[in-house]
Amino acid sequence: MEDKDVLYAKWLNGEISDDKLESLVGAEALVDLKRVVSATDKWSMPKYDASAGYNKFKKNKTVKESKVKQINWYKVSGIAASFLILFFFGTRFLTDSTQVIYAGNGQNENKTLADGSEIWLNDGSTIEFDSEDWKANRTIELSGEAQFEVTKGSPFIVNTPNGSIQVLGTQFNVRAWGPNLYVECYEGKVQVTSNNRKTILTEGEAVNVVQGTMTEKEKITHDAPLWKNSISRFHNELLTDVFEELERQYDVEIKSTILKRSFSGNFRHDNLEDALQSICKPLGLNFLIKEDQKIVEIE
Amino acid sequence: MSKTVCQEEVFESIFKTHAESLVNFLYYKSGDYPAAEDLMQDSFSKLWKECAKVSLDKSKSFLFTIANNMFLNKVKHKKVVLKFEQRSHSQFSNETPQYLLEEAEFKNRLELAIAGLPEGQRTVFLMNRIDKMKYKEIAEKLGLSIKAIEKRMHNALKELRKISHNL
Repeated sequence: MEDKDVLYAKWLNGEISDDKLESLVGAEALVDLKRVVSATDKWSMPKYDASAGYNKFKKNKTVKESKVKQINWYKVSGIAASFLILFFFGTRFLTDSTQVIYAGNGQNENKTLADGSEIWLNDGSTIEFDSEDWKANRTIELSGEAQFEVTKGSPFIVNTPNGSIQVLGTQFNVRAWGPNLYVECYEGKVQVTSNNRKTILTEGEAVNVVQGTMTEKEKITHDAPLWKNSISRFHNELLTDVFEELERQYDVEIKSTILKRSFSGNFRHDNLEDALQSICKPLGLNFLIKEDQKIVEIE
Repeated sequence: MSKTVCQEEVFESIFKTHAESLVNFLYYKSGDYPAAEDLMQDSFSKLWKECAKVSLDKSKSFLFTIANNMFLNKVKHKKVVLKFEQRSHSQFSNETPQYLLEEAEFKNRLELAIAGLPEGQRTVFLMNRIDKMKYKEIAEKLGLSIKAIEKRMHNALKELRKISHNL
């Protein structure tokens, strides 16, 4: 049957009758499923008080914005001040030029900026920058992974939760998932700063920050990030992070008790079994793909 | 003037429409209600900041995407524990104490099993079961296809079925 992988979902939605399901999977399964459904039918979440929540939201907003204006307006009387703050609150969208770009799961996004610099965003990643002031202030907040091709001009800075990268005119890739940071430089120079340590990368060099510690620079031979060729590469990274990447790329769940070891190497994005081989073989681990292709056990 | 997210009354109505499903969504992911509410508030702050860039019909999926990113950056990696309220039994129920005890036990085991589901399956399952959302609605919120939602739902049910069976 073609809908085998969504059978229970169709049944729950009333698209497949009890009788039909029973004929396909047996009476026992039907009873089990009904028990789960009828139990969860009675469950609920606490009602969220949206009005109170919205007041809280407005209050937080006003506090934040009044801080910005404090120096200018602290002498003005209370009524005038709150009026001005509200006015500011209501019109700030006209001047705010922060832009957010996010690549949803399974999508890569490409953005050309006002100065001609280009950014390619990997799945599930977000960048944020000020589009109006861009030429004078080329600063980007990144969560996730992206490749940059930067034109000459003012300093180009990428901030991540684990460190910042300042470009000195160049092409580079930044990988900032979880607690790690990995930067590869393909052209020109970039400066990487993390926890007070600084290093300058030139063409063909890469550096890794694992759990807050910056490693020695490494040599690379490729001139574009491997994810663009459907490959993930790791440099002495924790297995938990490797498994997370596998889970993202293949939409599977990895069950494993071995997490503390680290892994260096690649895996491809087009064949789950090959990918698992390339991780498990060097570490002497065994894996088992469950029949539904959704769960992988590694020991 | 056509409606934009930047108009306060429009924004307020978006907030009131989606706040609850967003906070629930974040709870299903994190198992931490106060953290879920903070992230929900932060997601709306982001929407307000970006209101000029986000069209009205995109605001819903924008909120869920931002919430998911914030969750990944801030809260993930904690062990998830989920508890749900149970609507009270009918006053005239003639259910035996034995039955009620078994049912309470079943609820515990089911909650544990749900907490142990992969995050994507868990979220979809609970959005459907608790928030009573249709697959199409979940797909729109999460920016996924209906087929992807059905798959997650199927796999969740397949896993949870085992709990029922082993009791």
